[in-house]
Amino acid sequence: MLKVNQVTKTYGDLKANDNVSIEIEENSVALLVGPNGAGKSTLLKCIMGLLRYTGEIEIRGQRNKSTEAKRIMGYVPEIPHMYPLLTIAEHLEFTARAYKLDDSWSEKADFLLERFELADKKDKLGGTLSKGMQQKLSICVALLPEPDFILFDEPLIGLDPYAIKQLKNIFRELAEKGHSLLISTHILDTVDQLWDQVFIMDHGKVVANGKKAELDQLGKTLEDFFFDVTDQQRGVVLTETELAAAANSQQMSEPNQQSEK
Amino acid sequence: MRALFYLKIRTIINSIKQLKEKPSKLISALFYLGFLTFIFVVPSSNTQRNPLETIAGVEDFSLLVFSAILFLIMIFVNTIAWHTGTKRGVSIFTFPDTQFLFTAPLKPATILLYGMLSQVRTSLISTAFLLYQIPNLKRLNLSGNQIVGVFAIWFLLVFSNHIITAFIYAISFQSEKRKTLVLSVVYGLITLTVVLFAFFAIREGSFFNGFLKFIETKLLYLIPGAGWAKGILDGLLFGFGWLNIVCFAAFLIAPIILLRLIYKIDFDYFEDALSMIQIAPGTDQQAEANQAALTKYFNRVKIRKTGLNHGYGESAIFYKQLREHRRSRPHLIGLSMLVLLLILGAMAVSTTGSPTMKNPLIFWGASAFMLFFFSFNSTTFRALNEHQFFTLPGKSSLKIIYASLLGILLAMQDLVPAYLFVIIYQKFNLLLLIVGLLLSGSLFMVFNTSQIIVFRIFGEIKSAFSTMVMITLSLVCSIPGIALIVIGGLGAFSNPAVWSYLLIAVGFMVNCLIGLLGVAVGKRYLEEGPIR
Repeated sequence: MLKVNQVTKTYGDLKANDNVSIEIEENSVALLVGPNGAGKSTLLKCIMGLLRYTGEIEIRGQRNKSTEAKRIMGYVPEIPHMYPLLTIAEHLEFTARAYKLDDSWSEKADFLLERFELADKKDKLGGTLSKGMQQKLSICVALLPEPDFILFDEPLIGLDPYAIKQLKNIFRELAEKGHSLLISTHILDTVDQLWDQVFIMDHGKVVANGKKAELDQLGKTLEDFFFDVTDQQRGVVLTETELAAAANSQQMSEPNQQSEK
Repeated sequence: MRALFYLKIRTIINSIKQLKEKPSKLISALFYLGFLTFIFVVPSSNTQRNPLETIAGVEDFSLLVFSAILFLIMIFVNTIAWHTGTKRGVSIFTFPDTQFLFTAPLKPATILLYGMLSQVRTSLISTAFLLYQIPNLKRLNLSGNQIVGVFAIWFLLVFSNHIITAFIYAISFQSEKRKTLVLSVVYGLITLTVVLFAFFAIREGSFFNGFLKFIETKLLYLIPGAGWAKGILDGLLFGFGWLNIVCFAAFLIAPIILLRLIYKIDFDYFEDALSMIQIAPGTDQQAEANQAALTKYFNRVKIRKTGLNHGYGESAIFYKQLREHRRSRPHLIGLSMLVLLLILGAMAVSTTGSPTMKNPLIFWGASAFMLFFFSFNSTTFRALNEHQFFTLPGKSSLKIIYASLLGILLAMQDLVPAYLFVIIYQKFNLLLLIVGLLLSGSLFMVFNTSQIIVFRIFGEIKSAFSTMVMITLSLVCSIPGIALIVIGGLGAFSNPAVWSYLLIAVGFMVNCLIGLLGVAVGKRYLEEGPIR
């Protein structure tokens, strides 16, 4: 679905993405994780064609900046920005027109608005929406054209618990329907056990990648894998015994803390 | 394209609906329309048309000067457009555009075209400002068609400048050589214009006669953009010849060709648009890099410690602004100071020997006109956008006063060299420097008030409508003070009497009172909290 080949993005002297290469298979859910400032959002913007970079990015063999590629891509940015003078319903209608969707779009739109509890607010102007509502609308807008490949940049930020639950369900449904997802996050349980691939970024580079099946074989969780990699990056090398001891002590301290409360 | 059309239409419809929901905005709209009607209707019935002035044996002198002034403004605007094109491409998009348009399956060139067409609004604002010049244009004996023609030229020039900027950026953003070439052409054209003027001045042996020959020469028509516009303007004012028709054709066809070329180039501008509107950098590393670059930039010139540690309570706002100002403009001499000096200086030099121009009021009027444009960069306006302005403990009225102070002082500071030059060159009384500065400062207080009022109604002064209301309100609020000052000034210079000096003082007081009204409105605004 996605091929990112040796992408480098610089801001002055700073390499926000340094020779990044990743590949995402069709019908898979990929996670892009890493600490703050690792270059995840920059990579997503490069994939969406919003930034200039060196290297190659292809979506199903099409150049990512082509109209054909954009037609099969959806994007939920980290910070949503709505047109202040368009209502929620009009944002969706505009999207339907821009993507040239057939007449059934309005039913889909109603369904999405219902799921994110925006149905009764669809006449509210973009400028009057709270940050959480903007995020919900941003997700609705990205999902409306039912793109084959959707990029989510920290999608849970700003959502209420109900919307988080809905979004997690949506991730599950999209995965079941065969959509490909690339989710950038630093909340590791964003998609629970749904993911197929993971890319860990640090200092602008993909420092590790793995498949869920491989980690399952090793008996490691995503969290184990993430901390193994990022601790190594920071020069903290723990042996397996130390890791086990640390995990035990953490487990042991939790009941004590609860009892103190 | 249909989607973009939908976006535009819905935005317009919803903004009209907003007028209905917010009475203050509706009142502003009615006020604006009423004032425009007044401008159109009243002067046409009252204005007495004077025969065209003949000075130094030159017929249509007023029209020639009008053509020259407009040409100078147009070449200035044109130069900025060319220059901007070498620095950045597209500053015409908003954040929602980057989320909705840039990611949609729309051709980049179509999006760019949409952005360009949105600039019709900007062009309309500047043309709307010219509408207030209708009475003056009528005094020049211009017919209705000629006035419409002048507006059309201005509108097209401003609009085509957006296209020029985008085109220059499209052809030069990846090539330093091309940027240098474009800049060489820009500065070359300006140099040639100045050389041409110097040539006529030397040949005629007089600055004034050289100026007349300069504004009459057809060679100016060779300058792309401003020169062609002058060709059409001269055609409108003095009759069309074949050269004027060629200018007309070039002026219309060139933007269309450029647009076509931009569309074909299909250039990559998304990042520029994004970076221009994205305040927060994407990553901590970027933030550090940006901060380092900024520090390096600001450290070029040492800033004296005039900053926050001198301000306590409400006055901290003033010292904060002062430090920010010193960082962004470390040198005393700035663009506004130079422009004022250049224009007032040119006026003083070129009108030497003209008895009608030997009047300080004319120079003060010209500076007041320019002051209006500089007031857009007021410190109050910026403070009203900051949340800390509301949260800072202290008296609201004092906060407004301290937030306004720097803007007024800077305006007065910028005027000093220009006023001094005019006073020395025209041999006016040196006391006029202080009088002129005080009157200009009071006028700036009036502009400040209108900005505060409009900000309180709209919560911003960015949209076309709020800007037009602000311009209109500034003009209306400044009328009483200016009228009193002008009447008093005319009296003082023709037949000095106590009443004329009193009128000037009353005009000053009226401006100050309007300034205090702004403080009261701002105080309410601060106490109620931001509306956005």
